[in-house]
Amino acid sequence: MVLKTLSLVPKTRKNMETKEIQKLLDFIAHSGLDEVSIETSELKISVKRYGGTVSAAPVAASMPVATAPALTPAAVQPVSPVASPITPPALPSNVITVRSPMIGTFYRSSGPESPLMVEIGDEIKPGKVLCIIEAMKLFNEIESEVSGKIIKILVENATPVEFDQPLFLVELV
Amino acid sequence: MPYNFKPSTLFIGKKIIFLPSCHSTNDELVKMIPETGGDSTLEGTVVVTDQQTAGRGQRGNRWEAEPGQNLTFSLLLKPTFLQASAQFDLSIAIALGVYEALGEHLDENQLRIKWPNDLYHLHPAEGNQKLGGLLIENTLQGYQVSTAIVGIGLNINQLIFPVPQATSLRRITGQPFSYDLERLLARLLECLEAEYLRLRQGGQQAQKARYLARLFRYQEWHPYRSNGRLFNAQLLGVDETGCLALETTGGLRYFGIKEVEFVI
Repeated sequence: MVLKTLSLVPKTRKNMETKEIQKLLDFIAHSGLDEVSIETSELKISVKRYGGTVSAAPVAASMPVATAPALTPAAVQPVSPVASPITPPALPSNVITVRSPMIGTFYRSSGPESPLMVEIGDEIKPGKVLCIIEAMKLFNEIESEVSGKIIKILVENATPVEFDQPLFLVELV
Repeated sequence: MPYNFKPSTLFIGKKIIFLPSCHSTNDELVKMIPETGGDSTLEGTVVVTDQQTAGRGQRGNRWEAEPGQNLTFSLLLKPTFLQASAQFDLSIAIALGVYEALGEHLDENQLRIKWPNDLYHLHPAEGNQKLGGLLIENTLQGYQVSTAIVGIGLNINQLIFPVPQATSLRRITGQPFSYDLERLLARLLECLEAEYLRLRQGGQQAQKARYLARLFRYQEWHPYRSNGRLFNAQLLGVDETGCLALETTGGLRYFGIKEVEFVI
């Protein structure tokens, strides 16, 4: 869904106040929208959830709003995966790393007697549950966001994982 | 019980599905979410049962309740505003919602949240007894929570328990007749929605303060066990991931759920 205009930005105003940008981002963060693009005479802003881009670019050169990206609230901030030392140094461009979004314990099945959710060589699609990470009695199913093939499982079942730790290597199809 | 009673809420419990018996209300609710995205399942949908045959506590622990006597239900939420790493905030909000609803029937000085999210009654003579608990299962997309299945089990009218550490609302209050489970569920859903909306509006700091104020053993010295070793510690709080902060004689230490046991 794309929003074209937003009432909280008066058209007569020369510049969009940083407070208004903050308000706007808060609104988007709580709206449940995955992607929002807004264009006014002074400003073009597009916000994408789930690790997408957050950018605000001035249209008219005389009215820069260059500080806008820094004001992004945490909820829509893109998570830039920082290269971690455990990442294999050179991955082919068609291979992606699925990382742990949280600290917890990594499980490959939903219970001690349940089958493994994925194995090496399995074809996966977006929405396919790859593993469970448990923390504080909170169980988290980690879903694939891509289509591809599991080529490597980097963590042993029932072991602790850190935030951003690589879990799987997936070859994209 | 048909559960026709409607709570006064905006979205939680607008759709209530009653199952006379099922394995686990969490699993039943999961089945209702289509694999592709899950947008067609209404946020706030509740599954409630009279008899849960394979209820779960912490991974592997079973939770048994006498049929028709207690409240066992699951609630679907879509907290897409929540970062995966901040999900303990949801656990806090849910625990508070349950606390508020039960607190209308009990002496709040005797009702406590036991870390991370069990409900305990501090009985002057019988000691500390568990009244209920909750279990949350999330689905994550990237670094965000997309759906949360909140499973709640509360002992309400059951009077006899196989273990001395369990109790029920009716057992505590001594009310001569059974509590109306439908009404109680409606009130729980209202309280849960109020807390969930507070969280959604960014109220997690105030909620954490309320959680700590209601936390079992908060700022008190008591015995704990970790790695087979018994020690005394003062409970100082929880960190943002939900780990328990204990002040021990060797200094401040943080514990995950499997790393420490309350000696009660």
